[in-house]
Amino acid sequence: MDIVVCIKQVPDPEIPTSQFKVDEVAKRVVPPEGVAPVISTFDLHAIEAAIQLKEQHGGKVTVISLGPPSVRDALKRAIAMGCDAAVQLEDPAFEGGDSYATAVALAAAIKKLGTFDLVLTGRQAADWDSGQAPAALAELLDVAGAVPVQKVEVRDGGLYVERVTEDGYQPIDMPLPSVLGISNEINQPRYPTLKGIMASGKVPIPVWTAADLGLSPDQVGASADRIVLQRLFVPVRESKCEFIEADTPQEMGEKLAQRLREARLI
Amino acid sequence: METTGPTIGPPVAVALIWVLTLGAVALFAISARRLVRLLAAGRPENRLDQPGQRLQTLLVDVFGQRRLLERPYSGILHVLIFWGFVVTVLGSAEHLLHGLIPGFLDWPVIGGWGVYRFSQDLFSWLVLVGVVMAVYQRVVMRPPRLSLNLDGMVILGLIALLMVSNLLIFGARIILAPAAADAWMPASQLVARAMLGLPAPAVEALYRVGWWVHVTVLLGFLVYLPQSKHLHIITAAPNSYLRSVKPKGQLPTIDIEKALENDEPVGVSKIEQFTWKDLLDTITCTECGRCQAECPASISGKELSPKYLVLNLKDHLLHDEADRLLGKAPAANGATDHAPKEMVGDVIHDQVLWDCVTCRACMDACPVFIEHVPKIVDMRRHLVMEASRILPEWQKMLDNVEASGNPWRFPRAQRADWAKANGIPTLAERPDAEYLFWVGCAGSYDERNVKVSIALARLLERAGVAFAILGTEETCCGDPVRRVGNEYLFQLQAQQNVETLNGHQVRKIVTACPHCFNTVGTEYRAFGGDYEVVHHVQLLQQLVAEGRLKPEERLDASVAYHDPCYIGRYHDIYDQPREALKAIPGVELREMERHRERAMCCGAGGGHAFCEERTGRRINHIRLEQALDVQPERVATACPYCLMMFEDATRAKDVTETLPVADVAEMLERSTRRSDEL
Repeated sequence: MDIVVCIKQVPDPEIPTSQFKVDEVAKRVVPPEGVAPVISTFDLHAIEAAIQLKEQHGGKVTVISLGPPSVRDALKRAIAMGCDAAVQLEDPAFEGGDSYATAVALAAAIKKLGTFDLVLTGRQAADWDSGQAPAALAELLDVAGAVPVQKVEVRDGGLYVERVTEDGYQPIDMPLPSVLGISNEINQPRYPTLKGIMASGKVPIPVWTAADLGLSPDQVGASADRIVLQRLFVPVRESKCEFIEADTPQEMGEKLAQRLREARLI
Repeated sequence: METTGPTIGPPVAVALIWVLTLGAVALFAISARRLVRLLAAGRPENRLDQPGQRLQTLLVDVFGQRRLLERPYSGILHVLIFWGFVVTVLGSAEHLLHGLIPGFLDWPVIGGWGVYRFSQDLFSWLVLVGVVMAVYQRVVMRPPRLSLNLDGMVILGLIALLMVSNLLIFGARIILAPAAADAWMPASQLVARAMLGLPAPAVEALYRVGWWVHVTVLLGFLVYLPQSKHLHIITAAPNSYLRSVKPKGQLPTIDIEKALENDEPVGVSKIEQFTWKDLLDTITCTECGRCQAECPASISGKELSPKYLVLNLKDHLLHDEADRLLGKAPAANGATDHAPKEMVGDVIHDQVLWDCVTCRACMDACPVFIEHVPKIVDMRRHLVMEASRILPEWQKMLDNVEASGNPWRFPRAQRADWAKANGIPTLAERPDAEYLFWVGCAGSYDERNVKVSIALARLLERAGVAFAILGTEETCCGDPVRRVGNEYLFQLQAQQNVETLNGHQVRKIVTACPHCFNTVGTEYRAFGGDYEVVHHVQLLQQLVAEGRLKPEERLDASVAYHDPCYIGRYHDIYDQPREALKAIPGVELREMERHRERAMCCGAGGGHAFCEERTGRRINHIRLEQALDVQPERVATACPYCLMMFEDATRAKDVTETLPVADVAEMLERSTRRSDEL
């Protein structure tokens, strides 16, 4: 069973949000200095799910990430956990891509790898939380897709998948190949073994550009974006305190209810 | 030599005793050879260095029974039996030779000495006193550390038989072969007096009963010993002599590169991956349970019992794995129905290994110097680095250290913010500083412990000590990382810190954290870091003694000092913090029942500052109760983890108002404040 895992490197989500700054002119989030970026949390669960499937059914796990040279650390970590191969997608043309534009590059890379049985991603990335990439990937690869997934098993040549719902889960049968956006309920990502860490330094990680993927610069990156970011800012939260005055508690309660209704809160 | 003395029976009896003796010796030799071969399966390790210190252990702890005497009742009974054995073994050999060599009755030369006779007589009944005390302890007192089992009672019974028969033999001999030295044997005289009216053949018959009982039990012992916990009679002395004489806080360093190159394990998952000394430890265990009685995990109801950890390893070595290690195929029938047991996982559950707080109480309590903590860390190394099995919170802690150089993932760039706000210089700003103040992660980021860092800085300023900090160049020392089992990440941290410290040519270091103190001071040596590291209680006490710090403001309060494990048991720093506290006018020290060498851990060591306590009671609550028992008005300590654990406990028990907790440095700082600083 050959599995491709697409992962994203994000600013450390463990850092308190108050530490982040927003550059409103460049429409960019500026993480605090000296904080190393990490693999997005849900993507770690996707890596773990892929490794577990490989351990049960054999095959190969290839991990792909689009981003600057620092994403090689993320790819190495994935190999240290047990993935077999990794590809980095890097090209100035990829910059500024939204979920769809990034999915175009990822889909092209997956096709370039050859045949695959399953593509896994995190249900959404810990930075923007858009959750678009898995659906876009399924569409671009022309296969079935499901998000968010809390369980996946190989059954009768296909897949048994459980989608997380608000009050439980939805059991579905899916064909192979498919794209699944993995949710955190599925597993506990493993800690890399020492052998894994050492091996991760030895696995070559090729870098593919847009040209390598047969894509022209206008098909990817900012020029392929389907979302236009209007404004990026930290919303100001205001809190006002109002005293309800009355002579008796009963009167107070009545006035409070009236005030809440005026504010359309009840 | 007497020729008219008693004999053990007709010539056929002599033949019989030869057969029995040779048989027993042969059976013993077979068992001993098997044990030696099993020990030899372990990894090599040199345990013969520093013979002076080893000899001292032999004298003080084996012959002096120091650790046993820390519990007076069981200590005294053991001294009686131990010394009784050492002395009466001479008499027993005399008896045996009397049977093997017709005509032999006494040792040449010493046999006629009054002192020798007296020692045999005296210890025969002193051992009986010891045996009675031991039976009383097991049956009536029943301390939970001892398991009431048949093995123990059988052995005590046999010892009693040996001594009763001794007195019977000596008593009969006084009548049958009187000698000048008989006057030296008052107890045997009493026995002889009881036999006085009997005809000579009857006395000789009694002699023979005594003799055969004595020699059969003796030979039986020889056969039984290697199968029982009383093997310690043979192994305790060597095991103590071969104890670790390395600095107590220094875990073994693995050459990771070499191990990976040679495909060697970096942790211990199979019994033969322990060293031969680790294996000797397991078969030396006497099941006394002193380790378990001191262990904070056992006391608080966790799965870990250091006693059963060692006994389970012993059982695994002698039973599950013996055939494989001795190159014998497992029995063809029957033995294959159950799957082979994994040492880490089946024999020793993962949780047992996680439960340890590495406080060293077990190792200090063990009368035969068994080394529990390094074994636990060795197996944790397997779990973390080889098996990828780890507590989720510890995985997070390790990721945090890797990503941000501290266990909580505060940004590296903010490590020295506390110092900037308080005008404390970095080494770059003050390269001529005498002391580097190693702040540590808690002292840098934890709001409560930043107060301790500031207090210590103020004290050093007042005493005129030139100091500076590393600032953002400092990163986690690696103590929790190493102790939860990630030797690889620890070595990366150590190498980075040693490089920084050596780059600044640091020579003297002071720190407020016992864990940093131990790691930087004793563990960095293996990585080329050789510094004079002191814990602040040592430096502060010295500054007070030299008059450079003058505690003048009164603190009229009774104070219970809680000994942190990593300066107490690990480095024997007990007096300095107490002296520093006593220098504060008005302070009255109150000792908790468990203090100094026997102090109980706050519950945060060995990585436990970074995980939840899921089973049993909370260790810090128990420790707080122990403090409350002596009704102090303050608790003082000298460790960031202890401070956090105690304050967590006082909050939970709602005694924050009545029992403030402070670091020794904070209390001294308060007392040395000049009026213009108030």
